[in-house]
Amino acid sequence: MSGVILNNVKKRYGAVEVIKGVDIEIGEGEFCVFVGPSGCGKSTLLRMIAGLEEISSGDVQIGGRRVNDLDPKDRGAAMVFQTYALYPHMDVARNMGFGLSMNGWPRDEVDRRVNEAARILQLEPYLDRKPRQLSGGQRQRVAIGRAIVRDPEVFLFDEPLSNLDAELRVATRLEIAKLHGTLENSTMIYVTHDQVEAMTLADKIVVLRDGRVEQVGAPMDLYETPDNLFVAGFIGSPKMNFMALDNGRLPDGTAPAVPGAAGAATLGVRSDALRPVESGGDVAGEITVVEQLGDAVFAHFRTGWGQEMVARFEPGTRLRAGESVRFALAGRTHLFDAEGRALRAAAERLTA
Amino acid sequence: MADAALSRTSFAPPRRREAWLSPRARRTLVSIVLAAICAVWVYPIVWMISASFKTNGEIFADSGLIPDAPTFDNYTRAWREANIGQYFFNTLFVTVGSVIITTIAAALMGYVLGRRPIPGKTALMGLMVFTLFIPQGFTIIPVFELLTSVGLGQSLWGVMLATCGHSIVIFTFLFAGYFGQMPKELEEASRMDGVGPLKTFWYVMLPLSKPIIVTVIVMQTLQAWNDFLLPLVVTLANPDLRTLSVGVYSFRGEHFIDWGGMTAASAITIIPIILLFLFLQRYFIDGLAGAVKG
Amino acid sequence: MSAYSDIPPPPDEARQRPLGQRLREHRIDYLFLLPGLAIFGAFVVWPLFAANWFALLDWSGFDSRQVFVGLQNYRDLLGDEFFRAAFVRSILFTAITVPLQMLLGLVLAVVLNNRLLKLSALFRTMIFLPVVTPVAVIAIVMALMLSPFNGPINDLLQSTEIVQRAVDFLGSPQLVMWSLAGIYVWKWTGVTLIYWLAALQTVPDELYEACKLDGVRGWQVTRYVILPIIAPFAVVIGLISAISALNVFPLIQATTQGGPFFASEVMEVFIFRTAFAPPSGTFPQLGYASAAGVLFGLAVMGLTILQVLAVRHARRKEPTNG
Repeated sequence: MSGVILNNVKKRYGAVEVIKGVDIEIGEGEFCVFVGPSGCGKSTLLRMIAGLEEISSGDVQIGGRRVNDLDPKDRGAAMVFQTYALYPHMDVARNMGFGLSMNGWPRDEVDRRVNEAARILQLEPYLDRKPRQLSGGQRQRVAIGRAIVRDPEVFLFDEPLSNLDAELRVATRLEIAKLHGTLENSTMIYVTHDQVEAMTLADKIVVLRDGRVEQVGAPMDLYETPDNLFVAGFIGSPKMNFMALDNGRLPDGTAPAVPGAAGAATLGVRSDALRPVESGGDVAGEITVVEQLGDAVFAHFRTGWGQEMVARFEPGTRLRAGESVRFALAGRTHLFDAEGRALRAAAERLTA
Repeated sequence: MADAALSRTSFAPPRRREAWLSPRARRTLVSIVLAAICAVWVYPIVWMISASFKTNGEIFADSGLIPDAPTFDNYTRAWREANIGQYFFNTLFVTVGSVIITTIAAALMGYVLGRRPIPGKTALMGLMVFTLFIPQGFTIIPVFELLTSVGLGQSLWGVMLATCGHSIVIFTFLFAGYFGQMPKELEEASRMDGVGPLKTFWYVMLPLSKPIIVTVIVMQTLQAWNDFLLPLVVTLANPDLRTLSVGVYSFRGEHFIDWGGMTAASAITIIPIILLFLFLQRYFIDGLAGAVKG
Repeated sequence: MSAYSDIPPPPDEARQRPLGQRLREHRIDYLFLLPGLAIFGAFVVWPLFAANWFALLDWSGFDSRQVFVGLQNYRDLLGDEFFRAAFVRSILFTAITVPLQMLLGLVLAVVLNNRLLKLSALFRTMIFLPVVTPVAVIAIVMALMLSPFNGPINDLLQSTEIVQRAVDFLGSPQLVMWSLAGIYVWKWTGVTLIYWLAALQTVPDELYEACKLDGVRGWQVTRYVILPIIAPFAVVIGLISAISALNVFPLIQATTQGGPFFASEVMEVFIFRTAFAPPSGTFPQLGYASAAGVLFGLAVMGLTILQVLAVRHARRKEPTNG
């Protein structure tokens, strides 16, 4: 039992409440990603689990124990920092074993664990190097190694990839995914602002905004059935297109063929749910920018009422800025009420 | 494009005169001038060192920098008869002691002031800045009175302790500035590792501040070795406790015609400190530069 | 720093908790402070208060009785010719040496800052050498160099027939302060040089390159680009230099002991003489010397405050450097 449970957790700085009552349940061995725009409180929440920030109210449980008042080292959690936070004057082996040896572990046990971690992370050739002699990716692995040697119940990652360049980020992301496979039963909590990382790594995603949980669920659940406008707009790339509805009609007066549209305030369509048509269709516009990605073409177009939207085309489609395009809604559509809540019924009816 | 073309034709700037010296030649010229200035600049010190190897008769005989018959007599005389040997070890004692105390105290205090949000920090730092501008003449009487009242008024320990006070504020600020800019993740990482504050300071923070430690050691060494007013006051009634600075000063009063001995005593005084400076000047310069930038 | 901590804690975060609890939380920190605070308190702060108290006493020696006399010492000081002369001399000395030292240091710094000048570091070291030389040694060196009896300087002056008779640089009441000012500038310009070099380090390399491409050269670069950028540092450097110039005691005590005939007695020499080295047949006057110290300290502080205000003013004018 090494799951993590947050129960109505709040954090106040003076009069300002930055975490406004969060309930999350993370099962043992689960990979959970906290995602949200900067300022949403995701790092604060992680640091509260780690014990680096005090918990103003509510409970945090790790492995069934309430840990609110425990020291960070006693919580059974290890953290990987965004900036790695390696000790610059110690070599890789010492960096990883520092915590253990300072706490009186016997030397050969420390060595054994360090070697084991180095083997998992392929750091063996670098054990006697200083951090500054390592590449960014290697440093990140050392930081992970430092967490591994402690054999924690919970791994905490605070934006671990954001200091890496794009290519390395993808590679390290894969390694973290593999690592989670290797270290079965280790619960991992991972904070990022990048929804791609969230989608690719997570068993469970927690979308946060302004100190509140917007939605919790498996990546595809969030993608396919977002609870609200915010999650719909945050998850998925490119961003979902939103169109205002007035009595079931778009701003130019067209009535899209979406059941239940009459009761909704906003219609959401992902770029791949727009099918180009020669005539008729639901949405029309003029192409402004064409992005060729190789495996897809994204056409940004401006609708008659002046809104920028984006549609996906099959690779190889030839398009030019200035061209007129028409689309029919073909695929999953999302309806939201005036408060931004998803009108689930409509979407479900369509998929059924 | 049209504008650029226009300005180019209508606005032909006067052709720049060819520089009469190539940049390289100009640098050489500057170097020669500087070399001359520097030679004059250090001449007195070189002259003094040279005089310390001359006999008293030769010193004022206008015989150039190379002694006719180099002699160590001046050194043996100064070391034994003028007690410079004793003063040397007095100075060493005061310097080493005050360097150890000052470095440890300033590092600890700088760490707390640089990183820890303790109550009263702003007030303390304000007070410290304020005292930077107090001249030593203002404080020497109470300092001596304090040493006297705790029984250290006639002791090298008193000199050592009071010497620690001279620059502790500046050193503390050097440490505080350095510790203050270290990423806080380092401490958090060691907290996650379960390492306590003392061990974190000792194993993580202190090793990382090595450049500042060396700077402080070098500057305090210079300070203690060269200090004058304080040891002068403390040793007024105790010639045996004199430091080199005071010893050399008194030498002049007591053996005022023995210029050879005087220059030898001077050389003994400055050679250790000049060697230290030559080998560690980078740290010394960093320390000074820190005062301006901070 | 990027989104390390999503929400920066407001600076007053800690203030919300009761003081007692915060003191307890930081007890290890206060333990760390202890040695430093002990030294700072004993040798820096306490003397500050004690000096003000001593200034109100008639007290003739560390083991003699202290008699409270109120402001009498101050009243006497204001009428004391030696005090007034020493006070004025200190101020004048500062006013003469600081600009000289700063200008000389600046010129040297601008020249030495050229990265292509290969011997730059060596020159800097040589200029700095007098800084690390103890004043007692400098006193001896200068007594020799400036000696009217076959001293090298007088030899040179006479052989080039600039002067007919040997000049007694340190023995003449008219010349002694000027000679000391010269020695002082020689000793300390190395420090000012380092200060200026540090200021010059703040000029980004790209600026020099931009100047090259714009065809701005040599003196123009210094005058229109470099100097305006490092100008704000002048106030700080001036402040530090002025404070040190007011602390000229060791150099003067070692070189001339305030003589001849008190002609080089600056403030601190006056204090030292009154407190520790009274003319034979008289008693030390510790209270009186303390009062002189307090007045002098006040003057230095006043000067400091003026300079700090000047810094503020300069910073406001140049917000980019603030």
